[in-house]
Amino acid sequence: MPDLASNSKFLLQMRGIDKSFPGVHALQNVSLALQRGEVLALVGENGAGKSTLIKVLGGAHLPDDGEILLDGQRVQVATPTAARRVGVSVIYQEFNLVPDLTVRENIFLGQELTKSGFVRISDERRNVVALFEKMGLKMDSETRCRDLTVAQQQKVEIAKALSVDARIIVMDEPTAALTTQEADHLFAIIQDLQAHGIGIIYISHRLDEVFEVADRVMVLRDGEHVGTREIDAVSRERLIEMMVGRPIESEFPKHTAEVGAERLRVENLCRGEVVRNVSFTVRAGEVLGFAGLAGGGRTETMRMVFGADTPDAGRIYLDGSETIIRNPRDAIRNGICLLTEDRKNQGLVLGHSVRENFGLPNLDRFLRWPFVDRGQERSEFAGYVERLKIKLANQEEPAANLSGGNQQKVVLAKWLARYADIIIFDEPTRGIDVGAKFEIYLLMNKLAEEGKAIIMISSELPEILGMSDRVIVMHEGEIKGEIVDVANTRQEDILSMAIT
Amino acid sequence: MKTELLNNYGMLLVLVGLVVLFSVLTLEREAATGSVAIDEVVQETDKHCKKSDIILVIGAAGKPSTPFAKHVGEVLKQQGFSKTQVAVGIPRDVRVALNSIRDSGGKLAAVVSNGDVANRLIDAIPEDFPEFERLQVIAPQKRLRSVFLKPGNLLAIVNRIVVIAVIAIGMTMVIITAGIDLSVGSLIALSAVVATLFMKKMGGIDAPSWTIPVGFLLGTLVCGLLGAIAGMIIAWSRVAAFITTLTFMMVARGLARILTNEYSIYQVPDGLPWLGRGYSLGIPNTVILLVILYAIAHIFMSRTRLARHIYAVGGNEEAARLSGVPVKFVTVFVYTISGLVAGLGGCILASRIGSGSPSIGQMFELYVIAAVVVGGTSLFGGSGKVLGTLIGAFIISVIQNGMNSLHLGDPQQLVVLGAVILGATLLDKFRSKGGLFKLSRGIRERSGRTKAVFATLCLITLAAAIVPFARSKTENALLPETQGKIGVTCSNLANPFFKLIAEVMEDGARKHGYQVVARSADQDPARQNTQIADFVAQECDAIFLNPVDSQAVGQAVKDAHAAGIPVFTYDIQVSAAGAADLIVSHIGSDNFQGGQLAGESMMKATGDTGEIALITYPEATSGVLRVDGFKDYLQEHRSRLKIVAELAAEGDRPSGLNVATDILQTHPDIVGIFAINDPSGLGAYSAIASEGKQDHVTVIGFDASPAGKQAVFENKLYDTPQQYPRKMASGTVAAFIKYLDGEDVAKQIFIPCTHYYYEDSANDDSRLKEQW
Repeated sequence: MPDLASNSKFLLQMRGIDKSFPGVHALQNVSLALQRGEVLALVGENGAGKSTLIKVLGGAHLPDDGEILLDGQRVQVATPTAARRVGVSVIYQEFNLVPDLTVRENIFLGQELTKSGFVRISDERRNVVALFEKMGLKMDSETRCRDLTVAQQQKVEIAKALSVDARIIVMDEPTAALTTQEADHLFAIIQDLQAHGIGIIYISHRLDEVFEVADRVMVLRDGEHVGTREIDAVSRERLIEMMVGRPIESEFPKHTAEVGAERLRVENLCRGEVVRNVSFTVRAGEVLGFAGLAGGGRTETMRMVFGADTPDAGRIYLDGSETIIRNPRDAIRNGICLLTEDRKNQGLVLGHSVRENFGLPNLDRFLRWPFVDRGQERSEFAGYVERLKIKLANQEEPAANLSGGNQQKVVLAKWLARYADIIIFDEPTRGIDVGAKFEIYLLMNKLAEEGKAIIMISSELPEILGMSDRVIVMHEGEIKGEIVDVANTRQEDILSMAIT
Repeated sequence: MKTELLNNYGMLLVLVGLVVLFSVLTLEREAATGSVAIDEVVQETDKHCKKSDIILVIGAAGKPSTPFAKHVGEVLKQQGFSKTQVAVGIPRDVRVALNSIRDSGGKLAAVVSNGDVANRLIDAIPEDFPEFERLQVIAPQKRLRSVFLKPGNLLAIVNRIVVIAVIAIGMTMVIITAGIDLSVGSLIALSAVVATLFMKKMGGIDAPSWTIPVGFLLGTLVCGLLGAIAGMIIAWSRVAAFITTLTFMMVARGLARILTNEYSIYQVPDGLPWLGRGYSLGIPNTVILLVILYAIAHIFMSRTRLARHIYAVGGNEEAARLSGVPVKFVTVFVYTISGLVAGLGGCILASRIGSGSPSIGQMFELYVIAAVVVGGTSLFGGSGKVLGTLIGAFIISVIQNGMNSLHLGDPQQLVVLGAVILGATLLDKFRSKGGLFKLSRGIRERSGRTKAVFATLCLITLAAAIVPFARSKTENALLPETQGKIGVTCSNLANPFFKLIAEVMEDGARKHGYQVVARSADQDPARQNTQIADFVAQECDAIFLNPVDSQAVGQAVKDAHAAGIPVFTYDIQVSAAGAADLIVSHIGSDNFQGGQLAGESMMKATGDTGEIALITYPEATSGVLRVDGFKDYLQEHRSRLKIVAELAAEGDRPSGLNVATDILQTHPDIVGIFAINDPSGLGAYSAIASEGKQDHVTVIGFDASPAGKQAVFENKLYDTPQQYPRKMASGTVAAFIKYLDGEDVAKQIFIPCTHYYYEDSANDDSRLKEQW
């Protein structure tokens, strides 16, 4: 059979995959092919259908139409277990680790090495140590995952995927929480996997990485396959164009607004070891960047400014007068708002409709006593949906159904509707695609022009340098330095400030 | 829009389905009383009788046959049947009427009734009154009717659930915040006790009527306060709601018992029942209350800011807090509301049973939670609908009432209720996955195996629910035409004493063509009241009652009497004012005399010298009488025995053991213990044996239960004055039959107790067969 023979040069083929959810046609006739030892990068904006495609491959969703072939043979992947059995291992963006189990227990979860019902702990431990050695990892296999940093958890996920004899490994944003060094290590692991003939599907918003690791790149837009290119045959600009569907001039559309009076001054804020003597000011119309490594105390500082946590000591001045902020209600009343880094757990009530999420901090304005005026809420939200270009089936859609970028926009909308003076963005573009990022940057500019004071925490140095008027670098709970001349600063300068 | 309604309130379909099911299953041929029936009997009479004939029209007191009889009598007289007589009342009144016709030398030509009055008496006329030859019995055709759909039964469904439904409003809010409130069952009792205690202190039966609303307000506010405190503890200390409210459940129940000294409070003004039993503009107040409360709750939960905050706290507490929602306030608010409605529920219940009892409301929290969950509210918080909860409550009520109409036993009912709740909840989960009407699509999403598991589970639960229905229906069909049914309710069917009585009653009644439906009140006066209300709604021919609480049962007895249903008590008497006189007949052991026997034995065994102790059970009047008789005998015979301890136990072995252990610690030199029943006596014996004192301490029990008899044989008990449950049971049935025959029935029958010593046990066949 010549047809089969020609097909079998591919390790994996997905043909004509179609999938719809209520109100959304998530995938339309998408096909994908992966060779042995190849890294195929999968890129596209949020909501383009990457996650859906991966979930179909991983057995989490059943496709409405289409087929999956392994080595030219048609296979059924109806459940995650079935997928694992045929050699497909998926590392999802959201971790699937049980916090109270140890690293070893998590790696072997569901595939424990047992002898008459008892776990062979020493065998498991030996395997984990060997695996970690191969990956160049230094980690105690008996640590509970609850006690690991996000980056370490990421590595455990990768180890878990490698522990089964996977032939295809799917990585969904694997470097989102890793440092540059850790990411380099991951790339080395990927090369090693390639050498062993394992096919890798690599999803990332960081185009630098895509150009570094991928052999080919496949672009999805609005559930459709836009094209697949050899990585050497495509430029960065062209790739962005393919993803967004139109040309984009610059990644960071910084526009400096007129800086006005001081809006917020923080003096000697302290909380245990996490935040030590932090003082800074922000002015109207200014974007103040907070750079540094994760866990450096930036998020913790802003949570205290917002009243989410109680400081041990320190003072907060708003427009020059001291203000006591006991809880988020006080902060909101005083015109401060916080867009948390963890949208799913802290920013949104996922099971509730986007309209209700939008309304939650604004109900006092929609109140026509004793009732909430849903009509007003709806029409105001509709305005923001249009202004922020939020993609929705309708306003009653649960927030959980939205892509990351759209979720971030809903969070932004709910705070914009409060007309806050001081807006704190914590990792505003994490997990968000290029197009949506660009829109959020434009919005930031606009807010600064309106005279708002903006604080932006970001771990992405290009973003910090591209969008801030001034940058503060934090490390281990302390402010290590301040950069005023942002235009003439290089990434290395910030890194050296943070680490020394 | 339509599918949205179904998705939100899909349980409505289940409810409708259940109503249809029970309506069909309870179809029965029934005597008619309408105008068609009147015309029918008048024509019949015209056809068979001459205008000069003596005609007796009869009706039963309190039943639809009374207006029927009066109306028929008037029509007949108008048509010229001048010698028509109307007799309305109990069977005895009919016999009196028959006697007077015979004694005046008249000749009765026809008896007219709706076919459901004094049938036994009428059947016996040819024998008892041979002079009335060629007597015509005229009655209208029976018509097919659903017992379940009768207005009285529908009201019983509402009344059964009103307390649970009211409390479920608060529980829905609590569960939407991802919390739980286990204290509501105890708060019911506390509220009822506080409210009635206030009325008692303000003058009891003579208290002015304003004390009723004020008492209710007080009871409700006390519970609201407790709810608020629980809410604060949960909000600030972050102790899990489950534990916090569990402790409040204990504390509230304890407070209720302390406040009342464990007796129920019946010294209340006449107006108390207004809330739970009264009518306004012809509509029952309970129905009005439910409609108003649910309307308010629905509007509140769907349209106000606070409600949004409640949903948000349950959906994602941290996100809500960071959005400026006052999480602590919301938490305190929902638990306060839960406490307030639980308090209101307690007032309604107190009003329904006309007294305040510290033991009401047990297990209510679980039914309330079941109603909320069946109504579609997620225990994980964040979603749920108040009207769904109302539907859930009605599903539970309809199942319980429907099964009662089908005469299912308590154990079967538990199985069916559990299965239906599980099935309904599974169905809801199924539906929420992809819409009830997109079931196939929802299934396609899952693998074949999951589908099979789901389908099998649903089938099993449904089958488990339906099998007993089908069985009882066939059983009914196999029975010979029954004369009617008798409702039996006793304090606890798990007690072999009452189980035996119920069985003997069943056998005895069957011989006369009556079917017995036996219910266990499980020591809960409110439960017993509901059972009696069901018997009334189902139009039982008699109620055999063993009261849990001699006072609290009063209102239910009055209701039964008003509905023309004769009530007979056994073992324990009703003492509530106005209700005691309504009891047709009481039969029970002579507990006072039995106590005297125990005293006699105690004096004999101890040589009438030393210290002794009593283990009592003050909740039951029988126990109190036994102690009184015991003391009376000692006093009468100038006993030198000294009672050094008199402690209450709960009439079972574990508590008897505990109490006796304590007694032996404080009074190591006692020579005898009298326990008011065998289980507590045997518990006391265990305590004595573990101290090695069995040769020095005499134990006397009561009842001569199988275990007690064996213990006497083994010399563990010295004596156990014997009761005769079989005589009690057959005596009750005999009294009922006498009543039907229109004969005089003795108001009280006391069966004397007898000693039961080792000599009696040695050759006792019943001991070997483990019988009473």
